[in-house]
Amino acid sequence: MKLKIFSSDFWNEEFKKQLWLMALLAGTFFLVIPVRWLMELENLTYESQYKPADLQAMFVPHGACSGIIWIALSAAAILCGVVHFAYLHSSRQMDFYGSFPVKREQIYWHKVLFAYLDFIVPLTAMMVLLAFLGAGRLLLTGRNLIGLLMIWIFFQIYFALVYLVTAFAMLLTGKCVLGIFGSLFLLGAGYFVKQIFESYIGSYFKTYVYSGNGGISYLSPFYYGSVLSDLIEKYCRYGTALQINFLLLPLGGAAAVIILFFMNRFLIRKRSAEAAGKSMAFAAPARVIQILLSVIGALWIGLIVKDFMYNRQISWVLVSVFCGAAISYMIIQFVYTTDVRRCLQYKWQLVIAELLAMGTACVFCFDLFGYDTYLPAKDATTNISISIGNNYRDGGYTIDGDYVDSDEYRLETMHSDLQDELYQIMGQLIAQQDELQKSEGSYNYLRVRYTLSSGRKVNREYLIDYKEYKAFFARLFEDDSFLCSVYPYLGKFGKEDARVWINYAGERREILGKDGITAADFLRIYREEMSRLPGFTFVEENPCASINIQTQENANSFNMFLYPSCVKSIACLETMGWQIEPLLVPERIREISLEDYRTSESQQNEDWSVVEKADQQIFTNPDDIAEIAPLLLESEYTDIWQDTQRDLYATITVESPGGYSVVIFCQLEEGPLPDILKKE
Amino acid sequence: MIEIKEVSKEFDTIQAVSELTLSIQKGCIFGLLGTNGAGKSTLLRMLAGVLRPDKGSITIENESVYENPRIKEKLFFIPEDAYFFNNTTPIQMMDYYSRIYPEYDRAQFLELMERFGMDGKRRVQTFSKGMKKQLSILLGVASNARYLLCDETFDGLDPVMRQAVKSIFAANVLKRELTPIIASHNLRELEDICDHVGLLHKGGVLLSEDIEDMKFHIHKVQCVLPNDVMEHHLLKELDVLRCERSGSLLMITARGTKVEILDCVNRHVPVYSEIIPLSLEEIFISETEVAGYEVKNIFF
Repeated sequence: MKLKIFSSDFWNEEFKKQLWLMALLAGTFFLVIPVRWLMELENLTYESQYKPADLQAMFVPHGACSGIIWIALSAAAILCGVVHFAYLHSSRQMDFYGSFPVKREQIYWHKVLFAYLDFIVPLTAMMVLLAFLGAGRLLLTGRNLIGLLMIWIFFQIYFALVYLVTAFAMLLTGKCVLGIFGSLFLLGAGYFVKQIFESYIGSYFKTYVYSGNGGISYLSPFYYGSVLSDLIEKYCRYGTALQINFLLLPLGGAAAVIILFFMNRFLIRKRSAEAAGKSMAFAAPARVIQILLSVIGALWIGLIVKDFMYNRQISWVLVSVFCGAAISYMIIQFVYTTDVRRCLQYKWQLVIAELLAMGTACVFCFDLFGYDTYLPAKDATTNISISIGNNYRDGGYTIDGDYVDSDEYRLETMHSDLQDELYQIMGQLIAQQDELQKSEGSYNYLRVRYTLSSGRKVNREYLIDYKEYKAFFARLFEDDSFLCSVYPYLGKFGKEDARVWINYAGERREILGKDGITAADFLRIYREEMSRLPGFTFVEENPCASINIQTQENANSFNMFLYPSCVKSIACLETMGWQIEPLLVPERIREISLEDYRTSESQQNEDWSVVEKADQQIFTNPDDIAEIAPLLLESEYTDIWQDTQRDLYATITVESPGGYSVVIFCQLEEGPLPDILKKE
Repeated sequence: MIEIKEVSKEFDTIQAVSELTLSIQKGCIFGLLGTNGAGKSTLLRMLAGVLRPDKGSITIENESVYENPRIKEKLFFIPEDAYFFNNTTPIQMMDYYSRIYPEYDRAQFLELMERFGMDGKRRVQTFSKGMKKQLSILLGVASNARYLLCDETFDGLDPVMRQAVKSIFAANVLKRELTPIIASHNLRELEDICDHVGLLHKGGVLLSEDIEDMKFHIHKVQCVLPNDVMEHHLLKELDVLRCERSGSLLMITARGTKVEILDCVNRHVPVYSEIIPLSLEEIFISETEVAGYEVKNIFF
């Protein structure tokens, strides 16, 4: 077959030789993209719960961005990398290609180009086919088209990353098997190493807070691919606006591709032909790699032992890390030399691996760098923000309706004027941590973010006894910035077209306008009232209802709570036909069913699960109810100083103003118990 | 012309080639002799541009070989164990090579294939070792490359094939100044084809000589002289490489032309004298013994 893609007959011939790869990729992409999507669409339409708008929203995430496509893409890139560079591992093929009147670098350039063509041609064809299928089913909206284009670009970057990482591993090694294992390790290494470090940090750094940031995970192309997939899901399925991340992430990936490309080009020029058949192609990096792998292996073995020990005792962990370094080192040497007798050659390498592994483990186990006692210098700190634990578990939503983890949202948006006081309190908390950890009292967690003048953000989480700082928190709840961080709608919300639902007495209904008063009017009153209530109101009253606010079409909504003190808001609702009254009052409670775990017994089921069997008491006498009622805390709404360690849980049956029964689940707050609940 | 100047190559801790200096003239058939591990294959790979020398330089027509496509177009490397693509045929290999070497002569290849009775459409995987070697040689000859680097090429060939290949080489040397460089550990195999021989040992060159020159300038003479004094004078006058005695019979291997040596012997009034033809093997042994190497223990 005549093929004239390249200027030289030789490259045309070389390209023809590996066309089977293109055919294989075409077949694979055909199966995982249009065929799989058609099958899934069949299933989704069979489940009649999905409306056309839902199917449209799912078209790109499920059709072009599903997990199996990423897997197929990864496998394709790895296969291309191995096939294209396997010649480096065969001395016969090195003699063959090495004697040709062709520069090594030219071979490399062409291999990369071949890989790109093998991939892009079938991928584009299948995505165009998918787009046509989507158009035929009326699923191809403008947003979906943009989503398809984005994912087409993302796929190219991802494929290039995985391919070049595989090529890198093949260039570094001299045996195909090692090259394949090496590439798989490199593709997931960043994420794997991050998991190891996070596990140690989470176990031994008491003030550590999981930030969820990628960090070194981004060094792992597999992780990077999952992040790109999430972006598409956000954009197409959840209607998120295009953000800077949509540009920065692909640009970052493209930059990594360029760096990898030139790094591989450098390696192929430096690599000697006699490396074929050896474990590692370059002697110097081989030592470093062996040491690093030994350290990672040692820390991983330490992790296994740590998780096995309930008390995570440091001595066991250190011993296992020490032994793990030796074991990992010997295994690595065996893989390199395939000779058991040479497992302990280069003892100096083993010593270095031991020192590094033990040193790293000690840093975590003994907090050698003072992670837990870290407090930045005052003049280097531009902002301290906090997020109170157990306070309103709903997420934070931006004005565009994007969901952000509630803690993250608060930490990011809070810029209180009480910085000096906050700084002082942080210092006190740091000093108290050891004592609080060891004491048996019940405390809450306070998340803190220090924003430094360099731009760096440092997160910590401290145990706190809120009662000790009651006065401060009362002032904090009057701070506008703090309030806005807790209630996003207070700061920026105000759209006329928002929709509001109210959950009251077990019922959920949309607030519609009446007599000229709209839902937006209600929200303005509610916002103003909430921003003026004294801080204690939030923590000492049981809310009487929850309000669900949706800021834009197809966006997620968020919840707020209506308190008895919000008299204007309640009055506004009354004019719109709502009757809102507190429910957890003795007059309305008909029955309290109490589960008492103070003397509960454990019972093992047939499936080896253990359940606690609690004593149960039912109170219907109005006098008994009147005694218990003041202690009741609605468990969904427990706040910063309402989190109780009491082993008493109540199921309350109340009569709503509408005359029907509502069941509410509660805990009992701290404090003296009435006589009827005292145990002898 | 190929110039190799103080070339060294080390693999891990093994010194494969050590400060080797050699010149190979264009148009001559050069035999590269040495035992296993002498450095022949390593040297050939460096000549072919597969390996990069650690030290020294290798130039062909005054240009460095390594990563030089222009020069590499002029050479063709036939390794000991040649590589062929999976499921390929001789015709397909010819097509492939014809795209690499601009002066590839497809007609010559097809003609040679026919002469050797090779089926061009049969898969190479089904060929015997000897047939694969034949194929490599034919592909190399048809490339019209100026330099043919052959590593243990005659091993695996039957005597008839060997003669046929030698005649092809000879014809191409005459026709287009082909310069085959043939590595082998078998001196007898190269004796009748090579013009020039280089002997490698432990990564270095023991000697590099034109065969005719060697044969012309070393001779063995058997003689019996009347007395010890005459023997002593004779041995002093000749450039003796080797001397053996069997009773009163002296067997002297000496440097010089036949006429010079005979004249010298006759001046000492021998009872008996005769020039004995020397084999290349004996020449080698004699030459290298002078250098202190027991070459006969190496590979003869």
